[in-house]
Amino acid sequence: MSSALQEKEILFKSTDARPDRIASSNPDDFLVPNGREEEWRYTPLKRVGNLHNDAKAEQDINYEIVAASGITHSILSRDEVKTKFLATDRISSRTQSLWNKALVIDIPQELETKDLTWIKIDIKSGVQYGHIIINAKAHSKATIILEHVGEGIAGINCEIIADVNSSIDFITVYDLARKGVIVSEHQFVINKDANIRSLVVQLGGDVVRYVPRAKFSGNHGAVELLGVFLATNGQFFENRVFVDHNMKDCKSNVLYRGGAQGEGSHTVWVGDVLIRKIATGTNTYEMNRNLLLDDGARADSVPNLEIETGEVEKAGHASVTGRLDDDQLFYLMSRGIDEPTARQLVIEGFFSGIFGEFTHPELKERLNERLNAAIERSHK
Amino acid sequence: MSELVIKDLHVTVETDDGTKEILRGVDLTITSGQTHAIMGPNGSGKSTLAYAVAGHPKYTIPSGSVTLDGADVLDMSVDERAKAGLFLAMQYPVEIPGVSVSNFLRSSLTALRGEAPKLREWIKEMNEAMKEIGMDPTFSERNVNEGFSGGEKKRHEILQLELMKPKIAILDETDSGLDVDALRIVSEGINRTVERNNTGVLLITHYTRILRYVKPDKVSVFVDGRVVATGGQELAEELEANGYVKFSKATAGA
Ligand SMILES: Nc1ncnc2c1ncn2[C@@H]1O[C@H](COP(=O)(O)OP(=O)(O)OP(=O)(O)O)[C@@H](O)[C@H]1O
Ligand SMILES: [Mg+2]
Repeated sequence: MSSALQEKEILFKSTDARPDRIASSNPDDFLVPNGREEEWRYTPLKRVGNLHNDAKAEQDINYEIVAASGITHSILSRDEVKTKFLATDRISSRTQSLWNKALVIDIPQELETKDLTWIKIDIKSGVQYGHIIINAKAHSKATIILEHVGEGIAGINCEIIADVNSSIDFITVYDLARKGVIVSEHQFVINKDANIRSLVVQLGGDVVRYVPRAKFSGNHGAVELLGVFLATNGQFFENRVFVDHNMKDCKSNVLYRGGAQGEGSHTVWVGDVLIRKIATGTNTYEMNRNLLLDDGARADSVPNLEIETGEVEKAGHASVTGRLDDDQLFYLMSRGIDEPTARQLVIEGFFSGIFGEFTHPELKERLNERLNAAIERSHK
Repeated sequence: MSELVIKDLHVTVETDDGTKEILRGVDLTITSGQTHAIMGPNGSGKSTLAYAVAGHPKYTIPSGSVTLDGADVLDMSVDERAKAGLFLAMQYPVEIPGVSVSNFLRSSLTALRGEAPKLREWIKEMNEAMKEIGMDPTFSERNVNEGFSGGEKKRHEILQLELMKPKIAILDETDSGLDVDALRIVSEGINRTVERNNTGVLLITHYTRILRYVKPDKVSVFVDGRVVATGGQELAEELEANGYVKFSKATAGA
């Protein structure tokens, strides 16, 4: 116990954890949560298949990859992988200590491709753990899509490391079957002049908990963390975003739009941005907009901005949760449009533009198809 | 030939202080090809009448009837009323973020006509109608009413009137907030609709200036939740000159 404590103290100083949080690859450094901790207060721990406690791996993750030409990938065992990944909560650290096979994707230096790279993970029933590393070398440019489907229970972490002047679009889709469960921590590391645009889409599954954490390893980096989620029929979707401005003149933009409908449906968005003393010239904005489609659904939204330096270029945050507007529905219906179609139009309108920056036609179409299917499910 | 018949219509809303009666027995008939102007002071219940006939969920109708060619309008959902041939141009049109005008209009016409208009013909139809009402074609890509000026919103309502070709249209203060030129253009749109589609119009207004362009067949005075007098255009002129005092007294004494 005392050795674990000591390790924690060292980690405090040397890692990217929040000053009030620990980062460790050893699950024993984290107490088994009981649901009263700030970190876990919203998560329905009864529904996560014991990922937080003692769930053993019943099989390995099966990664299916279709890579753009020039991008290499390999499936490696623990002793073949070098990683500095330090988890920041109990499930993430259990995942980190329990995976057997990792997927490593390398985007070689100066490779620029418009072609898409798809990673598809079908989470089979039972419990499984995985780890993904995406290495974007200097001056590279690529788009990676990580899609999750299936009906099982999984803890999967991911590291996205963008080297100098690289530019990565990274899209994560959670569209599991109704009883699927996934808990993921994604860590983004952005080097000098590099740029990551990420988008997470949560539409299917019983419980999805997503913890994206971004930090910089050089000045003048930029990161965008975008998200779209729609919880219906009692689904639970949680996003805990952390952006660590630990370098000068970096930019971050966090924009999440979510909807919730139906008894017991619940979405959570917690956005933490920390601007450290050293991070002068920071430009950051975070925003969460939620649309509640009926009285049974709930959305929690907690933006939080901590500024330790006086020399910030721009820093703002906002959170708005509204209800589907009777007057909008009435206006559409008074023009002959039936109620389900009117609702569909208003919801689509609310989400419109969120995929706007991801212009690749195939990608855009796939995302729109998934979103529209989820909106349609919400009418039933 | 169509006829919207409103008989002894009572309308209430729920407020924090309990149920409040706003319409207190309205009788009105609107006939194809005819324009019936309604004038009345602020808060007398004109918009409430329009909304109640169109079916806004906020209003309760404890008694009275509304029929369109014999069919019970109050029994229909909001979209069924539109499909039956009713149209309401709203005093304050609603903004709908993320829904483009062209998507909105096409969804509406698809619903009203029972099939989607063919894309090429549709674009032509929409562009011509926009031109007639003096709306720039770029409006079709903007979100419904979002950031529209007051006058642009009113033109957009009349654009819908022209495309939807209803049997009966209720126009709630479509003339408010329009400049002189816009007033003329919007009035021409209303006249075209009456001429081309033989639409019957209930024109709610505060001003006689629109009645110089859109000639009413009848003018009714609306005070305190009911019609208190009906006449011709001369009644409108009298209201403009003397206000509603005389009529307010009449109701108070009744
Ligand atoms: N939801 C509501 N709750 C309370 N009062 C209401 C509600 N809706 C309407 N009213 C009241 O009913 C009355 C009639 O309103 P309405 O909008 O129909 O008037 P109007 O004749 O259209 O007025 P204006 O000429 O100003 O447009 C007003 O006193 C208004 O405040
Ligand atoms: Mg009114």
